[in-house]
Amino acid sequence: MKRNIIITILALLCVPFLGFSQDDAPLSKKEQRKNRSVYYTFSMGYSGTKFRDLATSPLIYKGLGLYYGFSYKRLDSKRETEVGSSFSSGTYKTHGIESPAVSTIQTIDVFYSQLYRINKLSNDKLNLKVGGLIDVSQNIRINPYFSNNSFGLDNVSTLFGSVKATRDLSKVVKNEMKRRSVSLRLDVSVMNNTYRNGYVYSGQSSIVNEPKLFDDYEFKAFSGFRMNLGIDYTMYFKNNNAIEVSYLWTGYKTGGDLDQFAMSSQVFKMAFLFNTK
Amino acid sequence: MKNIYVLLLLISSLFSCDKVYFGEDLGTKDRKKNFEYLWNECNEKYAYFDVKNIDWDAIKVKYESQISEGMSDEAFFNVLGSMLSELKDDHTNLISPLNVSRFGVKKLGQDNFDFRVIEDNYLSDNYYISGPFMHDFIANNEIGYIRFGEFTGTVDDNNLDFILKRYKDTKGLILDLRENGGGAVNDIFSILSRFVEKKTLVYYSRIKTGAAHDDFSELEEAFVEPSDKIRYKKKVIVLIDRGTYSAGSFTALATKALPNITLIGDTTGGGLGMPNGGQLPNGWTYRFSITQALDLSKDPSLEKGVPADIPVSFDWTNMKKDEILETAINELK
Repeated sequence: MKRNIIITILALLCVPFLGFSQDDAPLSKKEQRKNRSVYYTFSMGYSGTKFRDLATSPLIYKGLGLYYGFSYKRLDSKRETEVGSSFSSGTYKTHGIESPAVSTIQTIDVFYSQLYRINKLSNDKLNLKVGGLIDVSQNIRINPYFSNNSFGLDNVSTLFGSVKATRDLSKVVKNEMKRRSVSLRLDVSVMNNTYRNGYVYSGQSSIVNEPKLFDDYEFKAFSGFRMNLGIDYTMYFKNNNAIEVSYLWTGYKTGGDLDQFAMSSQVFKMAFLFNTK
Repeated sequence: MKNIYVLLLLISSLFSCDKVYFGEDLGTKDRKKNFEYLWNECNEKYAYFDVKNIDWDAIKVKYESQISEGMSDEAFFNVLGSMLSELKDDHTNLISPLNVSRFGVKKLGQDNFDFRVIEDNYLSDNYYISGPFMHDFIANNEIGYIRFGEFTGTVDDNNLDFILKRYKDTKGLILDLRENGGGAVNDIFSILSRFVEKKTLVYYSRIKTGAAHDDFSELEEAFVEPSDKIRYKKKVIVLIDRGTYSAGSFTALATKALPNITLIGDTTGGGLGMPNGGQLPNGWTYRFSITQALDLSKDPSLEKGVPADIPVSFDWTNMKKDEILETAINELK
């Protein structure tokens, strides 16, 4: 099953090159690149997050956090590039169990995405793009009830295969074109890598007088699975700036058994897109 | 409108995706499951079963029979706490809103320390307090006495420079670590770096890497390096007792490799494993040791206590004299 998913995604990743090569654009590549719109996006919202780290607790922690994002985006109907970062932070606790433990998590994401239109499946109203996304996530977890395990860092870096469908909802209202669109984007991990704690979570570097941050950490390639699903509703202004309201579901779990880490977030956010070209 | 329904269906299906990611919710107050979880965590991660010759399977049989679903939280806590106390390790605790279980290793030996005896009979009324250190001249100003009651993690160069400058003309220093329950490990190396002239290997450490009781990492070496600040080159006596625990025991272990430092008093309480922490399915938390420290002969058995070079006991019939401190003074004179 897992192998089939990987093969499907790899096949999807090959499609953009096919789609791109089919394009007989009258403009040169350089001209196309120059004409592409450039946006700086600033987003804010709330994230409903839950996580479980079996290395320290069998319990699921849940809570509400704040989400902030920034990105640089170049796009037109044929190609879309985005590079950016997001930060979310919250305080989480267990539910249904009498527990004094409370955990805080700050998550920093850095990402780069490239999408290409598939001409055969796109038309004036529907634009289907596929490509990839690289996302590096760093969790900083503090739970003072866990003694020497009270501080934890989890790094998850993922290469995704991505599909994005954008439906143009623009219409003329009172002789004025109101530009609107709705997008649905799915990212499925092709390669999920983790850099996190070893067998007993803590390291011993402080005991041997060589304190280090990623103490006794282990890198594992192709470990676990990750998926994102986002829905964006975008409203453009006359000056080409825009406001985007989004819902994002993101989730991952690492490999392993005793020390498996799983986290999912549902983010509701609003973004301001400042057009610079 | 149809599109909106599709979107809502998609979003709602994601809530069920969580189930795929997290699987079964393991949170439970079920007594047996919590007992099993704690026993298993210790079984797979505790570092000193072999050194202490503990039959953990037999302990499971002994305590499992005391568990019943109808028992009160307090009774359940006492069973789990007693099971952990079988590890005879003060780095082992069960923490709940009701109570905190502990072993009390310092009670394995007699009480050998009363600071009031030292204050009344050895120190001046205006002894100095520099950061975490209390100190003064004793024995006709020939010796410096430094009381260090806890590894607070706040030892800094300014405190140490001041103290070592103050006592630079003494015949020797006494560092009193009795009833020091430990704390921040970095303080060990900050202090000892003032008493070495070259980089010195002081002990080894290894960490659990697998479920078997003898699954450990390779040995890692712990060195003390000389500070580039003021150093004290004369003789140093470190006073220890059963209450000298954890970072206190690590300090005592390290001094075994330092020829200018002598240990006087009673065997330490041990605590040479680093405690990690975790949580039970009912929300209570626990900790136990997941590393082993070994001396230079690669023996991990000093977890049972680092012995004094000169064993001495406190005489509680004479409250005007600290026999352990007196022995240290005589050694330095």
